[in-house]
Amino acid sequence: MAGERDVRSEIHAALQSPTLARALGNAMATLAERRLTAFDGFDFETFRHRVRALKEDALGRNDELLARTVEAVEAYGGHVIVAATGDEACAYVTRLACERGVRLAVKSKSMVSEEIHLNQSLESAGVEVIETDLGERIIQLAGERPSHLIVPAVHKTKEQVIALLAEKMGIAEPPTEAEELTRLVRGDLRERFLRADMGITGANFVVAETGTLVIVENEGNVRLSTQLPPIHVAVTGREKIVERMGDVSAFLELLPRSATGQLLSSYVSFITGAPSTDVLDFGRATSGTVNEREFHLVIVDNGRSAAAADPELREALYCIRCGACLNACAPYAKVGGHVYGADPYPGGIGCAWTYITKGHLPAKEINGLCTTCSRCTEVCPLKIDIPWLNTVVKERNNAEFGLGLRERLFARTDLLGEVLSPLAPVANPVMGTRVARFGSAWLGVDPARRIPRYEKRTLEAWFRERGAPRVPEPVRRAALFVDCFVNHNLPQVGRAAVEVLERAGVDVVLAHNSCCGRPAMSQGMLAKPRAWAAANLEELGRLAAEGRDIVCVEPSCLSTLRDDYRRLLETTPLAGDRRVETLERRSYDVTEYLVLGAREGWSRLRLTPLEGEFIVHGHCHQKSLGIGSAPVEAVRLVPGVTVHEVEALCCGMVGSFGYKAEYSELSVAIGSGLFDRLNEYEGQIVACGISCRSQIEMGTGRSVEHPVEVLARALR
Amino acid sequence: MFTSRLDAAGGRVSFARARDLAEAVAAAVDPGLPVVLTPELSCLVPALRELGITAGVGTRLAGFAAELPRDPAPAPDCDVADHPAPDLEDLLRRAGTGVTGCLGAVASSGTIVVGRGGGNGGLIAALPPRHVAILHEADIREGLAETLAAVQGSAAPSPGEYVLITGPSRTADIEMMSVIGVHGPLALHVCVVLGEE
Repeated sequence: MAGERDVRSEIHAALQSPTLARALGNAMATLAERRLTAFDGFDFETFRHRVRALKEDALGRNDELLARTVEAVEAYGGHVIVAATGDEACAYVTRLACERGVRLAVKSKSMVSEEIHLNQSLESAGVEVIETDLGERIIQLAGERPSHLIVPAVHKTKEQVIALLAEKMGIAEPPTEAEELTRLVRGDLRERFLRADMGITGANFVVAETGTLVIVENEGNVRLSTQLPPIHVAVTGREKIVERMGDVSAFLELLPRSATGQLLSSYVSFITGAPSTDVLDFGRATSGTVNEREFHLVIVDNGRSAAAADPELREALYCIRCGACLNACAPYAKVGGHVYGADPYPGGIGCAWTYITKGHLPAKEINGLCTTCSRCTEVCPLKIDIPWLNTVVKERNNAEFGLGLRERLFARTDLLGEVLSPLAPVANPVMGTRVARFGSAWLGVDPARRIPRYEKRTLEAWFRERGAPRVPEPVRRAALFVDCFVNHNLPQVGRAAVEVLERAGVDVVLAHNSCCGRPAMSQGMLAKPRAWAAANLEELGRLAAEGRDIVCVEPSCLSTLRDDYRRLLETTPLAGDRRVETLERRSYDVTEYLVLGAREGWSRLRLTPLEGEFIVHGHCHQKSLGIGSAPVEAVRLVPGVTVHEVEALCCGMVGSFGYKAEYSELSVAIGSGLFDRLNEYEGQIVACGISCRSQIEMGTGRSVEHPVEVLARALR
Repeated sequence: MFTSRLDAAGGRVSFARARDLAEAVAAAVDPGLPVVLTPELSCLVPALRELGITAGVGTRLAGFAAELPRDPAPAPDCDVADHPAPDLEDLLRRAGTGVTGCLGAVASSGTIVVGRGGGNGGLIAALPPRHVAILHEADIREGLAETLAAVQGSAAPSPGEYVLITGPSRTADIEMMSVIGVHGPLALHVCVVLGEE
């Protein structure tokens, strides 16, 4: 599979396309904003907790609920099949269409049907299939695939739609407004609805106890597809089954709000078999041969039951296809769905779904498009840990595509530091040379990126040399987590952290920890991080037992300790170890810790006023940890400062992401919005992440400080 | 709340007493085009015709009249059989307005619940460019969950067959521009029948 697609060129083409940038930029911002408005005053956490529990339970009993669904559908006279593969599902529907003499089928939006390529199957048997959702119709006419879960033609501008409709419908002077264009399609499709022999839909939910389908839509095409033609075929995945009717409303509270920012979509159809209504005939091909209404439910497995039994992938099946994750995704907003090879599932969640339904990804680079910023998880109504799913898929893909030298190097930031720091006087000058740039290019690292300088005197060396800690009557005791980059590349940040903490009255030691594991996880390596997690649990657990809090300077390390260790260790003998919970509870970001000290009154920090303005860029992982305001509040501990908080998505650097040649341009494109916002202000830029720091320094040409460096300056 | 939320979703609301219902419906329909009603509203047909509106019942299902509740019942002695649709497909194709009852409504989102089952209610509410729904004030509940619980099973004669409707059909598939009126109705009007004091 590898090498068939040139993903780097595709990313470049997407970034250079003026129409894609405009269409996507507007749409993603609009959708994210509407979503926020819809959740205003709504108890998001309570509801997502409830639906998550419902999904966990329903998937845990998926076999049982599937059997009950089959029973319920057959009890009301419907036909139901469970198809093991997409081909099996297609064969059933196509055979049915042929047996009934179906010539024309109208179809409403269904990602499952895209997944199994149902249209191609029907068309090859001579059945005309018309997509009726406006966006799906547009891409059907264009011969494309959907690029978004709920807005399939989101990559197209209005001008492109006008030109397409004019060409395909043979209109010399097409209308120019969205409303007129929509009416044009309404008129064109109305006659097809009336004459169709078969209506094909998906389903958002299937209720096991009654065999009821619940289908959410805005356009009314589901209502017409399911009521005008005498035969209704619904194609859905087995993960859509919930147990009771009473379970549905909580999902309905979340789905439209998350998807389009509506309190409820225009239409939610509850369908329990073929309705006992008149069989109508507006001139369909099956006139006279089909005189009864028929209902067929096709439940597709296609890798789902295997994923349900796989503890590392099961969570992907909770997806209700709202698309909120895509609207929050910085890389998606720049490149759109097609770069993901969306067949049909785009974005981070799409990588997991492509893997589940196809068994592999179309190219290894696709998985790397996830920057692990976790914005998707924050907005996901099911709280699916999409970055984690990506890591799991990446690990499995490594087995297929192989792991490059570059990935192996990036995974070992600890070793690189240990080797290069002592060689710093020799290594640093070499980094900037043509030879090094040539070496970078050979490795697949963007030669324009500066390799970080290594410091001979590491944080650990400094701490050792300066002798015993010197805090009389400490108010708290802490262990500083020594992260690879701070230790080897930016020891001054670690020194500032130690100094400020000590002046706050905290007795500080350095933990003898291993790498947190994130750099390796980012390359899709899980075995090493598991071993490191186990070692760190031992060391940090020991320190916590001694009454020490664990304090991190780099938010990404903290996020790994707090958010990922549970999952990493889930499949090891350390699953359920109480120290995991201790670590989650007792670990802090250094800014969070200092702000907490001030708030709780134990901090002895006394700071002198500083002149000037500070512009703070929040770290993605601080946001995902729920401590997004900590760096700003920490800088505000200094008297007399003016602080501007810049609200932006990810900086785009994300550890090794921005270094990799195929993503480097995308990394800069993601960061460009942030650079502009930072450049609106003069003053000192402040950022917590080490990779944010290098990205911002490169993008703005300005220096960046960690909040503890600002505080350390105010100590003097 | 129901009115303001439905208004926000693009629907319109009017209020009527049961005895003035025909006039209220007549004021909400497209007067130049035929009106198709669900069978349980067949009693409104004579009154609408008197008001100069072409109206017919949108079903040919035999035996339907016998099952019908007599509510709302301004003219007690009417029957579906009195107002058959001579050509159902023709009526559905030409109708400018579909008129249906409601099984319930959700105030918090401005949503009505319409039966999809027997009597073609679902289609009458979906096919014509205009949908007028008659909602009894007492059937409005605050939240979605309680409304669904109340409606569940009450959708006789086809339980589990209904549609939640929140405003007219809409799309934003072209550059996220909000457009009202795609495949479903271009307009939704809910006529709330006030309870007698």
